[in-house]
Amino acid sequence: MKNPGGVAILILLIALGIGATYFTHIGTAGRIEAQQHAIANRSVLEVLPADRYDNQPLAQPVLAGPLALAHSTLMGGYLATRNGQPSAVLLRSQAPGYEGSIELLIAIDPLGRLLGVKTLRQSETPGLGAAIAGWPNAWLQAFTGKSRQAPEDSGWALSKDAGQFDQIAGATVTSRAVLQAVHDALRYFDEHKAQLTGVAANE
Amino acid sequence: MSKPWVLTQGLLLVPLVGASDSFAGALGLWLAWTLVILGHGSVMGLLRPRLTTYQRLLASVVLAATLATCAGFAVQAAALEMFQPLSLYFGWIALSCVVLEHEGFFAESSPPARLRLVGLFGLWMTGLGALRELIGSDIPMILLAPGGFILLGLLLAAHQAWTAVTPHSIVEEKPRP
Repeated sequence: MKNPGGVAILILLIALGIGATYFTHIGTAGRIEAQQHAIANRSVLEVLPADRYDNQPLAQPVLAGPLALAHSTLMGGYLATRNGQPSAVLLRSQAPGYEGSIELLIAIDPLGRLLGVKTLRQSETPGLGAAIAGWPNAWLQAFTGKSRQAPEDSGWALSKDAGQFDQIAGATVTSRAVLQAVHDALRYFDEHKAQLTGVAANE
Repeated sequence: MSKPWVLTQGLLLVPLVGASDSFAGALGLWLAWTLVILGHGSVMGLLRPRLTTYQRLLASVVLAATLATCAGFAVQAAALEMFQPLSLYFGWIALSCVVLEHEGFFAESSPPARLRLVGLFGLWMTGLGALRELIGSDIPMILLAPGGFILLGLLLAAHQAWTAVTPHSIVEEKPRP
């Protein structure tokens, strides 16, 4: 080598570079992980109004999936509490859509009314079925306040199936899949209310 | 020394279109780029006389990668949400450093010329970021890369038209042999 001093500087620089990168990584890893966790939590919990809960619902699972229902599969359930009282149950549901599976988060209050439905993952046709994505979502808001009793089971269908709900134009399969998944979740909640909301009370 | 340093050097046009869809993002990326480029420039200033041309390139690559990675970690720890759409451009910061070093930006330019380029780039980044964020709420297309390209083109055309109006005194008054 023509320049041994330069080689020494290079080796030193590489060692310093590796060291600096390593220690920066160690030093920031904790904070980065905490932020990732917070972002994931926030995107899931958007479905609940902030004044509805004061616990960490995702840290309080009440249902371990998968659990097959009539038209969908429950992947898990979480309990939101406020002042120690159950305030909502979050059910993670998966339903077969038009293109692939749709993952929904369905929030139900202790009386069995829907607080909100949010699409966590979907791969429906862009411009048609993909309208179920995004938050807040106009079409999914139609479910808010509904329960298993209101409307009756027969009303839990799209207008073209003689039910009460409008569909997303051009996306019947997607709309029907979401609607049936929501209905499934409500039915499951109704039948397992004590199990879903009672666990926390005993804890 | 006489070479004017403009935005087409150092791959600066890449984030000008790609990462200027929000004001905060553009400002953050510019700040990170400025810090890394200043750090890179000052360390290379110390090392340059002691290295051969080939070693210089290696040192520049190692230094730029280290600084850009550390800056990336720091931004992730401070504001992960802002970082996520920009993650690609932190790799670009390192690339930009190496290209600028290779073009002789750190070795040949005077400190004012360096600051001028940094300021000019910052002005364009934040200006474009603010403009795209403003217009983007009405015309979502502006937030996509092609929209940014069109907007940049329009701004450059306006700039060109503006400079064409002012007399080219500097060029014409040059004494000729």
